[in-house]
Amino acid sequence: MNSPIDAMHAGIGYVPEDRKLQGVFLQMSSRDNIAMNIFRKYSTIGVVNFGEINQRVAAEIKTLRIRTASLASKVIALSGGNQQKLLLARWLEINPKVLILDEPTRGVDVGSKAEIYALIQQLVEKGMCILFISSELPEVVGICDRVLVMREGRITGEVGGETGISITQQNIMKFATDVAGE
Amino acid sequence: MATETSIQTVNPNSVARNEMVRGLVQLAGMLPVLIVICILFSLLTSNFWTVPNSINIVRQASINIVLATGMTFVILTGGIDLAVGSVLGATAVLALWFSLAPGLNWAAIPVALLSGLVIGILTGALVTYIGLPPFIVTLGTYTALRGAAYLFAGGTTLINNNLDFAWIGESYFGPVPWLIIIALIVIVVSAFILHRTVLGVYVYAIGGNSQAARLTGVPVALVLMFVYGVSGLLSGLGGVMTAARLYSAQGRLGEGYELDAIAAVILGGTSFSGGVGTVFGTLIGALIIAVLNNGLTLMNVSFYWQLVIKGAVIILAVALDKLRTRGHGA
Repeated sequence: MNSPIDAMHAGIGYVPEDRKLQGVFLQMSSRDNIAMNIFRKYSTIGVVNFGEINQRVAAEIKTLRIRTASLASKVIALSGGNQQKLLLARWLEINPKVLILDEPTRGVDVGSKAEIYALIQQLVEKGMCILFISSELPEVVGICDRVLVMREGRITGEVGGETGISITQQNIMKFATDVAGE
Repeated sequence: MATETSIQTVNPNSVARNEMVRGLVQLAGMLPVLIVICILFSLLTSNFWTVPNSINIVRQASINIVLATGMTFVILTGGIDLAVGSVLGATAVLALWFSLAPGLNWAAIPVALLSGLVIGILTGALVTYIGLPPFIVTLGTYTALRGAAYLFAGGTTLINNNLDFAWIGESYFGPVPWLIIIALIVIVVSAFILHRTVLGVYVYAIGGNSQAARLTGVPVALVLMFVYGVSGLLSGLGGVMTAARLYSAQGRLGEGYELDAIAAVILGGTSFSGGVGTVFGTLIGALIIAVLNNGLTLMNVSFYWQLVIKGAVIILAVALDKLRTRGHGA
């Protein structure tokens, strides 16, 4: 696996940490932003089948409750929360086996945050594996089944999962700071 | 949380209409400027607003339209192609050379187009795989190909009074010169690629946010080779058109054309940083430049003043556009 394209073909989706820098295309429409991964799939010899794309995107906007004036409105006009949901929609369109969410609630309003958590629950129930990267302890505790704690680029411990250690902020902090010892 | 209503308004059928409206607004960007300039010249000179002169203007614009369309692809990705004038010169000389070679005259056009394409693709490869800035790479090809044009021409002017493809430069399709037909075909095909194909979406995506494009699985390297390839190919086409018009070619041909092409793209409302713009805008931009050249000449304005006025209009028009769009918040 050498490139984002390879990863995509292997069924891995990635919603990056820096939404503006690495995620959305601010000057492009909501439609183009959501459909970026599926244009090739819904095209005939390179010509996009916009009818099909529009239908899929409209459905996605409805399910994720993305508040956009129209499919054609530029993403720069959307709130942070809606931009984030739009990125989620983009990756859900390829139906990944593993979805990596890097700080998906950063800069997102409370309402959208709750919706994103609910969405993650739904996806997990449907069998998707979600790798949730976050530095906000409450949401980690609230949402994860298994937590790997990292400090300065290294995994320092694990809670939840098969460890038997319950997922609490204290247990995570123990590994995240130095107090855990060796 | 209570703004449920806005969700229900999303209707796939309204998209086409919205896009059309948006496209018209974008297109309208510089159209008023073009119209105002046309009206001014109609009032100031007696023979501006005539059919032969109008056809003349578009024919004079046709080569710049072709170059500027290629340039639009490149600038949409956030790049620049300084080499278009040099490629035009080198390919025009090549075409002339082949047209004069016994038994090889059939190859004149294919060789010109193909060498333009290959130069473009190589440029794209240097930009993507070695990661050189487009400005630097094309500054290099700009210089080197100018030299190549002189070398191919042997330092003189190649002339062919029995040029096989002279019809491109002088014949008409009905009442319309072939040069104009070719320019319009280039515009239409390019607009189709940019607005109806996957490739077109990728061009805008890379220009809008290249990092996001890469992370989303856009084949950035291929798309960049494509856009520089298009620019090279169209420069080669410009070379053929120029040679066909002059029955001759020499090393200096196309000098400074890159600046007119860039000016047309910018006048057409394409963002210099990429991601925003249309070829229809570029068409308007190229027409503005051609109308200025034509009208000022009809008014007997000296060449030196023409340059000054052209430069001022470019800056003014883009400044106006900036002020206008700033009001819309993006």
